[in-house]
Amino acid sequence: MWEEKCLMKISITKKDRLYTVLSFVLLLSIWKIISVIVNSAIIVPSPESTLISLFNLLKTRDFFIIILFSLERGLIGFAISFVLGLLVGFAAGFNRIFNKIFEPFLVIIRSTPVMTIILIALIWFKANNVPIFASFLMSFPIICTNVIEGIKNIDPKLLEMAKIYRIKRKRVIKEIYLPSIVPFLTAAISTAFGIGWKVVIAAEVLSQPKYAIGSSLQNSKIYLNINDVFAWTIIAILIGYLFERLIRLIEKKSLKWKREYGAGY
Amino acid sequence: MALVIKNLYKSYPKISIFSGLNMDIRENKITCILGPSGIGKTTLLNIISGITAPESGNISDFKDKDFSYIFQEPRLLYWKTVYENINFVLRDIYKEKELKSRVNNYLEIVGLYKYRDYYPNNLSGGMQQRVSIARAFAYPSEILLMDEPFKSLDAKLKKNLLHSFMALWEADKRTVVFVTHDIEEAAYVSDFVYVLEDSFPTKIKNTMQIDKSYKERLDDYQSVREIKKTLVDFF
Repeated sequence: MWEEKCLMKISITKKDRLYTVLSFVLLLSIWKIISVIVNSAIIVPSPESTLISLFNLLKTRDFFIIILFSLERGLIGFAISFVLGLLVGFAAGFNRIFNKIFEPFLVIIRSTPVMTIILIALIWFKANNVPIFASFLMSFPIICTNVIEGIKNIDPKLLEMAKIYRIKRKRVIKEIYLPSIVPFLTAAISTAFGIGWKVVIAAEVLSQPKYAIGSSLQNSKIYLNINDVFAWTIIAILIGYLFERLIRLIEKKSLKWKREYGAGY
Repeated sequence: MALVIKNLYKSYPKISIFSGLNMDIRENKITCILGPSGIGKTTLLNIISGITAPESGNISDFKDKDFSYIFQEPRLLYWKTVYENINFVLRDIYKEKELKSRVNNYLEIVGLYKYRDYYPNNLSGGMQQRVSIARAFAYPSEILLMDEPFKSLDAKLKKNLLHSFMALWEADKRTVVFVTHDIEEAAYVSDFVYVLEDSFPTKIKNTMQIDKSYKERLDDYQSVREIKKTLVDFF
């Protein structure tokens, strides 16, 4: 019975993989068909020519430097959002007054158009820091809101139990609050990084730091090199996807207690 | 010796739960509070343990006492293993070596030593409740509060758990306040029973002292039957 279940699971994941491949093939075919219909390499390049551009980019001297710098901006923006989001989220989750005072700030940040944020940042900061600031303003509210939500969702019965057994506050935070918000936090991290990453590239397009995926996109556009625009976009997508997978992996590890099968049944 | 609850008042909006309740909790005995659901038994335990504040009344005997509590639900930390869950409440009290042997010892008594590295989600409800019982006894409390810990378990499991519970209790005979609506449970383990009236504010309808030990009751089912009959008549 157990083995059967395992086998079924394996065949399901195999099937799932097949569907993923299928969907990929479908996407490529649609792209190819459109490029044939449009019949203009300047408007829609074919998948092959994009692939060739991608390989050419890989061979350029600055390719990895560009990616590393963009990634660095994304990660710095994200790290600041994460730390501040966690701190402010905890403060707001514990303190109702702080929460009430802080809530409008979050709403305003969330509702401000991305372009406004980038334009203002362009005035305030050096080219290199514009993407960091913009991605911070996008990611921070997501992390903060999720932490507050996570704290609201903590089982008061567990806190009561900890109170009876006279567990110190520091330990209650570390061993009850933090693990309880992990599911909220991992969801927040993957959304926040996804959005932050896109904003980093958008901000780079406008702020034009020396080494940046966004700058490369903009330059390719200026020279009507649509192949490179597509190629850089694919790279940006791949990086976003890889990070998403990494988060899922960490989530799976940190939530191993959730897996349901075992002795009692 | 007894811990005294004197002239206790507590009301919720629109309803008065206790209005001058008096009760003695005998030390090193199992005092059972028997009554229908929703009559304020949990509230009483919460007042004793200090989770809820009473409006007035004297419960000073319970101040500064250490409590452990077996709740209706296991209330385990689902991200910690069975071992870690018990370790969680003992870590600030015992040094490493004693800590380890204490946790293992109590897990042994409730028959879960084998499962010490399991996460609660991988155990059945009855096993989880056994962890919570082990946790309550492993914690060096002076008073153990129990709030219908065997509710929602089937009859066989209930017997097993009662057995585990009594094995643990016999070892150190701590003061127990046991709240239940189940006459059978009360008849097996109580030294003293308060039967509550089924109306607000909650009053004591009757009391019963039982002198037979748990073992005597196990050996002589007839006596349990008599206790049950008396308790039923009280209702």
